[in-house]
Amino acid sequence: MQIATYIIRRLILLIPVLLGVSIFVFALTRVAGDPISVYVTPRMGIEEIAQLRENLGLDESVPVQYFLWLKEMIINLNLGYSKFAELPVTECLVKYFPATLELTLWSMIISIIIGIWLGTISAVKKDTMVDHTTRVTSLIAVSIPVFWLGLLLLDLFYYILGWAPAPTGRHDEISYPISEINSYTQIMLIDTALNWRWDMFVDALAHLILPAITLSFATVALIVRMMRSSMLEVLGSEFVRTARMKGASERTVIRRHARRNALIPTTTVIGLSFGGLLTGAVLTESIFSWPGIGRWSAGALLANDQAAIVGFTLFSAIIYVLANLIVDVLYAYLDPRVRLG
Amino acid sequence: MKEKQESILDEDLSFKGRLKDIKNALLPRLRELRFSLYLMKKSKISLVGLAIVLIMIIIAIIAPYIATAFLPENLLPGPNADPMRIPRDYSIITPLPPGSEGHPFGTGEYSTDIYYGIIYGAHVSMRIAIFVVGIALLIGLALGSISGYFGGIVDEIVMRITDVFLSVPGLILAMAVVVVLGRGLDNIMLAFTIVWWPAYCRYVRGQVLTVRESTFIEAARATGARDSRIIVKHILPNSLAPLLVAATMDMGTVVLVTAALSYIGFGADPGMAEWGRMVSDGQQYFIAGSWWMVVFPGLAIMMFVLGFNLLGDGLRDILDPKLRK
Repeated sequence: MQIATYIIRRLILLIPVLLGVSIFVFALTRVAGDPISVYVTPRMGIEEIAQLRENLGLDESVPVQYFLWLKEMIINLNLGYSKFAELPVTECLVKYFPATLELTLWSMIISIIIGIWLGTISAVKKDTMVDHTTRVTSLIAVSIPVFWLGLLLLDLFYYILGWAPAPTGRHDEISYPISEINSYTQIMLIDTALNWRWDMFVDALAHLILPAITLSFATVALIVRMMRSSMLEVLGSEFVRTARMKGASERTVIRRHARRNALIPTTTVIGLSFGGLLTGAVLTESIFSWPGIGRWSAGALLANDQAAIVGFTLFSAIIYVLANLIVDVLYAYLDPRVRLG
Repeated sequence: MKEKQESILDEDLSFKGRLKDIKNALLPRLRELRFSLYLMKKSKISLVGLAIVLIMIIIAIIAPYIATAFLPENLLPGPNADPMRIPRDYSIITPLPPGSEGHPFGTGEYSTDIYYGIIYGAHVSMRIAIFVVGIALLIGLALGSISGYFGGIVDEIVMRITDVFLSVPGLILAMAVVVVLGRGLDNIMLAFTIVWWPAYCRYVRGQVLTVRESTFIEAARATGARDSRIIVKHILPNSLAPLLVAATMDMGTVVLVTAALSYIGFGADPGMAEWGRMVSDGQQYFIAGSWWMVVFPGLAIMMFVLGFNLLGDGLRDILDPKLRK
């Protein structure tokens, strides 16, 4: 009950922030030139454009235009037309987002598992070889350009070793056409498993591994660093000493007492790193031809497709603030000392 | 007799006396600095970082002179040539591997000299990092301290604006700015400055709020110091250390994200001395076996970013009073 009111209040607080983002991007598009270009499709004639200008109220003053634009966006979900994809922006988001969701989801899961595991080991074996290696490696990992790492992995595992499939997207359309399975979640690994098509599952997994590793590299490093420092803090606290004094085995102390408490500050970093994943997706998807919103936005940027970039920015803002809201709720759930309010 | 007495009274105001005052005031700071350097010497990680950063700074400064060191005479850029553009040798048909005469790091697409690109790229990256972090710091310091010190409606407005900026991942917001401003490195620099200051602003404000309540600020106010003096002389120096750490690490991050936009193709033009662009120029050849076109510029980015990250990591340990004892 308390959590429900907390979530509702937080959702209401998000509205002014998202309105602020919309004002910012709206102001940007007005700086750029004639705003009608966002709505024009190549099939329109001159009269149609004049008619559209009147319909959209682009002959009105700028504040009025903003409200009309906002209304169009919220009521009709009309974000304009993406020249690059030759589709309305809303349709692009619906079409490309599942691929990005799949990539970021698995990357997040990889990052959390490896990050927490390595961070715990590094803290427990402080100042040993393992710890030093982990610390230096994680600093190197946050310094590597994502696109460069992706290219190196692709070159090594596809062109040289031939272990990975060609970077053609989420699956091999020729051998395993997507029409052969029913889509339940739009997430290929889950869909193929639900259809009991394990051959397709393996194919999808093989396509996913390299991009997911590329994308999760920096996130793993962030989580390791946070996990290590909070674990060290917890290991030095009174209740861990008490647990040891009781005669609990080292394994129990670490698993039941220390790690659980060290996880609390780490959740915040996980929420923040979601922004890094969205950003990294732009580059990773471009390299691996992954058909997600990241690759679409990178192409749109080059094609100077403003409507697409505006839509992508607003959409990322929504995803990002919602992800952080979920993390805050989790945080409160994990840490009973936190009062929701 | 009377004259002499006066001169004794005035002695503290004479030049020598003032020098002594300054010396006395500086001594504890000097001791502090020496202690910091001692701590730094003990931490290997930060020393390695400092070394990489210093080497990068030196390369960045002397880049215009050493970038052309190995080039054959017919390729030397003329006095009016754009130094961003890497000199090309049109007589080369297949890319030359590293170690070739005149091209120690090999040649890239359009027969560009990779060595020139790497060296001059350090100059370009350093300029971008200093510009973005510098301007963002200035804006963040000014708005953050005003916002935290005065509170009220000013604080409310500034904080709501930073909320908006921080609710979109930086690179994505920069993409939105850049698609409006148009292509080019200068526009990327501007875009990142626009999206970078809110983080510093929030940080400074938080620090100011904590420091503002301390007793020594109350004391300063009791002596009649003006607001501006309290902010500049007392509050900011006491909130600077963690900001310095963040800014050091951001020097690297800025270069990383600029290279990313450049790699996508929105920054420098093809054949320019910018590391992200060079990776993107060389990637088709990379597959065919010309690894040097991608490996060298990527390594350059990594070393640059790693240097600042290591230094920042070390500085954090050194400047944190809790860890100093």
